[in-house]
Amino acid sequence: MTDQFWSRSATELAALVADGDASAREVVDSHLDRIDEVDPWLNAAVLVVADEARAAADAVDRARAAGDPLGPLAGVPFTVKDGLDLAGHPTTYGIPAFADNVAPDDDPTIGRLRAAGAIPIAKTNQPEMAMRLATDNPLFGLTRNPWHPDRTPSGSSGGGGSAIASGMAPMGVGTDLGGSVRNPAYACGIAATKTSLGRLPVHGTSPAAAEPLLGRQWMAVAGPMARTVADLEAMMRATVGRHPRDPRTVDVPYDGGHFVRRAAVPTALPGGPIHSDALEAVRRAGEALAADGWEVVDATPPEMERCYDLWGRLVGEDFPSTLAALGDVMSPDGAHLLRSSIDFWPAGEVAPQEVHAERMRLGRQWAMFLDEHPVLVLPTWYQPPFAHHGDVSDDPTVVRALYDAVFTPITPANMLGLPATQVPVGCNDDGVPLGVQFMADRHREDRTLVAAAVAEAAHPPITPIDPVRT
Amino acid sequence: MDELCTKTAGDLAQMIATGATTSIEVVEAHLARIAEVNDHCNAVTRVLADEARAAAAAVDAAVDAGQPLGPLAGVPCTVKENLDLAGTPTTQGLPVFAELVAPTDAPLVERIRAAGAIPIARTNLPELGLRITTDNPLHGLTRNPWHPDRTAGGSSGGEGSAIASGMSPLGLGNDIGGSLRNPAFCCGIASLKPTHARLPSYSAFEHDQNPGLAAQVMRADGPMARSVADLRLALEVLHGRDPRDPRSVTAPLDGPEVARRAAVVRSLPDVDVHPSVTSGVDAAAAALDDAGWEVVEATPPEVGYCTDLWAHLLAADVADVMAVARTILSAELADVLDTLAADYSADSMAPGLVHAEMARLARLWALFLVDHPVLVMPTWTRPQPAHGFDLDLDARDETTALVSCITPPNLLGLPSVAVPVGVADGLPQGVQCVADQWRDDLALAAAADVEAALGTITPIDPVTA
Repeated sequence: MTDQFWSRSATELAALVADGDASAREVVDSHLDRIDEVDPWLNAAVLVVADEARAAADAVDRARAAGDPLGPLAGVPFTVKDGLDLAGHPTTYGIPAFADNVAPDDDPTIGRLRAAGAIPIAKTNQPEMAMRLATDNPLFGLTRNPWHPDRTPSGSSGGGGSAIASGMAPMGVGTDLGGSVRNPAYACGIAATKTSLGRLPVHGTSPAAAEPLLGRQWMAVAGPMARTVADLEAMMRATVGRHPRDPRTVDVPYDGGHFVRRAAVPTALPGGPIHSDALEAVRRAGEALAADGWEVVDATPPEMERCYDLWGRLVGEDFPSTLAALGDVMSPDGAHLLRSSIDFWPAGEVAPQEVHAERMRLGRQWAMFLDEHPVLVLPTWYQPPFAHHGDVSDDPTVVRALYDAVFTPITPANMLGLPATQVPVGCNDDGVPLGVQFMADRHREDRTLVAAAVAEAAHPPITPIDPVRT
Repeated sequence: MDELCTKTAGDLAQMIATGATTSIEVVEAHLARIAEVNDHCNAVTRVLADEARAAAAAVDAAVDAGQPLGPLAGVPCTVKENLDLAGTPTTQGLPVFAELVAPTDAPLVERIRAAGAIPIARTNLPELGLRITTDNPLHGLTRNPWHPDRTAGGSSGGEGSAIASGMSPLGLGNDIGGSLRNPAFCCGIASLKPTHARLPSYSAFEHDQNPGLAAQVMRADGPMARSVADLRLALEVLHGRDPRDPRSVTAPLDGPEVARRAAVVRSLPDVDVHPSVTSGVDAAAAALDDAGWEVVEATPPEVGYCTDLWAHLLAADVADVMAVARTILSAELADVLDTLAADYSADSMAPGLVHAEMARLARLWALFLVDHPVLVMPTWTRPQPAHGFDLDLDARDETTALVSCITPPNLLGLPSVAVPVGVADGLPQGVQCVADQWRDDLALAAAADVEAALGTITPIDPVTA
């Protein structure tokens, strides 16, 4: 048996290729074989760019043979969420009407990973317009979670979560407006960083791309997904910084320098109910930090429920026009989150001016909290991962209960433009992945990853796994 | 005028640090200058003589003791009356706020003090900073030292007049629609509207803490001075994150090397640019050419439309606060603001479209500024009008045209340096050097080259008749 390169981390693979211990071609072929093996069941990859990936791998191998300098991620395969542009391929958003919506250029973050030598291997599934907490759509169908056949990988970057957890690629790029990289990372037992506002550039050039409204401008970001914290850091270093196609971006160095090892690990959190698994995950993280010498403080961040409500108000301002533009081409389930959000947070019920002013006030409250507590540990979700279609119901109280359990801890990072890194911290007694998120002040992804690495050292990665089919 | 009142802030700091002069001498010279010219200019609203003398004595003692000094140690500065300075009222030019004493310093005041600078006076502004001239019912009209009948600009008009007449070498103001650059142009000094969020903004007063969208995304606080080097020096001590301003960012002041290529705007599609303004732009272009820049005539995307979007954003904030503001504003200004809100109502352009168009233009301009790292534009498109022109509702199209190059940097968060380029018919000429977001360094570098070729034109003795 050849080395199972598909089980290695991105940084391990980059070192193997750089040192000549593996060819990029062997690495790519190993992952293509793995896709052939597991994707017929998981349905995570909606487009496999095998020929392009092999050609890119051969180019890396030729460059190395010629003694040319290699990028820091040379030869490492990665996945791209469908909604992010990969040049020459469709950006479908999971919608049949956009099946042939070919992007002329790479999204800037994808371009930066390519420039670092990484190799796009597949595009991954998402719900329509990335607007659900599960991954299913009329164009490509249902994506499965490798941990359990009946459980959703969540979403919206569910294809990326499923693919990385099952070894189809060591890393991938997703987007996050309401947890869309953290939700699938949590459900699939991998790591992901929701980046700060202005960290990674995002810009679509496909014919169906539209200018973002205010909620998306303020809250939607790209983020790395991987199995290890070191891989998230390598991806961050390759992708941060100003790009003129996304004027929100800024050249803040990745490294913020020394910070006081003090973490807020709250035992009292608003909203709820909070499942014992979520509390156990936070406990494990706090214990790991304390054992590493951190000062662990029981402190609760300001007004989480107000942040969540304002998040709803901001998306509630955007969604009516989204629905007007796309309602005709979306399925009823696909438009479910749009419609339910519009019902929960009707546009104008809170004056937009109040929402904007409150965002500033809460941003200040959180920045001052995070000045005192450089890292904050929160449950990623208040509840465990759920079943396929569990997010779609005609009963609004069922939907609202799910939203509250997911979005109360998820949305402050979006509302306030803060970084949040989800990492697994082992499993519960029934083999369900547990996860927590580490938050920090704006642009301080480095702090979230330093803390996440401490948790990871105590609770090593739990993927890749072979899909559980029954 | 005392020789000390002609020096730049950087020069004064060096003279104080090396013992060539003392802080107390410098402060006394500027206090004397205020006593001499402020009766005419009415730029300074409150003199902080005792506190300034005490601070100067402390700096001089530190110099004598060989203690480490901040980069602005002992240098006088002035602060616009809408930024908190502990122990003095943040009046915003409103009678109702005449006694609204700030308990703490604004972050910029804190930082400029930490650098050793000494606030010697507060300066005038129009009510709520919402005019481009400087006059208010609390303190009255501020005059331009260049001409008794022409506006000093606004809203940081007190700073402009004070710095141009030698009352202060360095000031702090803010800019949501040119309020740092308008008075710099009118009074013949320099100012930097920094990249949005590079400098933190915060007031101890709740009514100023969480403004509407327009102020959140378009207002920037920044420095004013007579030399570009002073702007850079001030930027270095003022920039960076403060948790009280959640928007603020600590980003490198110097970016990667880029082509020294400048786009020059001599004319506009829909606005007549006055010949004296065009000749100022030409002088700046020639200066850059001589300094080795590649200079090309090119117009950035949709300049006029930027002003429309800027006005829509501002009108939304104004409409939201007018019910309360009307009770504390003069009737004349309330009329102007009501008209703005009506002219640019949400009914005439949906807020969602305004926001999406702002994103589109930000991208188009960022791409333009990759090809042309510096953009040299008129500041105002005509020479300084008479006091109070901006209250004339029948002339509001002319006023909009006047600021058509001013608003894009606000709408798009771009850094812009206003710099004087000469004098025509007894009035200052000026241009602005604009760059991509976070490239304040490039805007300052171009402005420094313009200044090196064309010189500074202040301080001056006020022309009183």
